[in-house]
Amino acid sequence: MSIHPDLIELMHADIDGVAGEAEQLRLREAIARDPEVRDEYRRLRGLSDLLARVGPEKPADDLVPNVLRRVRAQRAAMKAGFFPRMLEAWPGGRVAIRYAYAVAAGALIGVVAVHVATGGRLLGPAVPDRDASATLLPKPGASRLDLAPAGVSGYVTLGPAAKTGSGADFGLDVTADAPVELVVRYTPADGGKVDVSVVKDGAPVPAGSIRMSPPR
Amino acid sequence: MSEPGDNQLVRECLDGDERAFEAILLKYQGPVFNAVLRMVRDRDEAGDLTQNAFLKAYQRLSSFDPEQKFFSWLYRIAINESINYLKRRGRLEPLDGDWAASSASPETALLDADLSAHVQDALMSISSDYRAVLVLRHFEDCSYDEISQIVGVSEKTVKSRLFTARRLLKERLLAMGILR
Repeated sequence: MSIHPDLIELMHADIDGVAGEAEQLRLREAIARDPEVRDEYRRLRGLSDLLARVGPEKPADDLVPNVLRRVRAQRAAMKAGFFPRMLEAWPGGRVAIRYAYAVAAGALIGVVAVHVATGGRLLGPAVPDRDASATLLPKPGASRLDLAPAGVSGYVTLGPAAKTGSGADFGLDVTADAPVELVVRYTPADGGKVDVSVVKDGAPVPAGSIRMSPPR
Repeated sequence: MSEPGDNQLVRECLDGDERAFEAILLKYQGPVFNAVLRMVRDRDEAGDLTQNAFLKAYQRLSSFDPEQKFFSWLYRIAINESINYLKRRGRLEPLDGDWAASSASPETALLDADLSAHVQDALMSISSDYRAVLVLRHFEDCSYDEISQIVGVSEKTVKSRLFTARRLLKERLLAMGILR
């Protein structure tokens, strides 16, 4: 485009209705003289006329009532103070119920997730698996040896044989992921003492000794 | 566009007269809605944004300077609301191809019912800064000075943006066959 910038500005000023009489005269002369100026002016005028044909659209009927409702709610909240203002920010009606359900469900899921993740310690001390059997009373006369000194979580028990009425029942209650190898040495001469060791890396690690409790 | 009485209505609003604010709403809901609509295209969004603009105007009424024109102040809030919306939507700048996809034939260009949609497509193809000055000048009949106050730039910048905006829109409409 080789039209002088002053003339371009003049065209826009004319279209916007801000060109003075002398400027308008200058523009008319340029239009009459130069076909390029004439085409450019015709297109600009055409654009302006086209935009003028686009009529306004009517806003929705509820626009004014909606704004007034929000204004009233805001004024009421401002009068009432901070707490009601917070309530104002809280959604009302069915929306609030949905929020409440969502919060309650989220809280429940959170509690269960933390409970599971902490191994059940959230609502109290952890309950080891072996304690499930420990809640059963030991047989009368039975003794129990904790294997913890040998690094194993569990117990061995020794009690009078239930079926034969003589001899002893040896019990094992161990929680372990890998096989546990035990060495048990029964010594009748020493009051029926039973020495228990746990084999680790090929060597026995003593866990302790156990004797049958004297009959009550 | 400015009518005597806006400042009086503002004073009555500040005194707690809700009817005064309703009068402002009834007077400006149409122009503000149309300005926002031309900025964002979507009717529902334009309705929501217009509501937000009026609510913000109400909240900030005490900061309104009576030396200013009320409608310029109100339009400024509405245009900013529109531009912020476009920013949030990531549609501040035009998307290439938007306008091309809805190109019209010269025959349909003659129908006013379609004209509005095609012009709106073309408007959406230019950036929001240019679109704002075009909307204010051609759809809201604002002067350079008023546009300058609303958009917050100098009159010289308004003219410059208006020239560029018209050139871009003209090119789009020529390409669409709407303008010859």
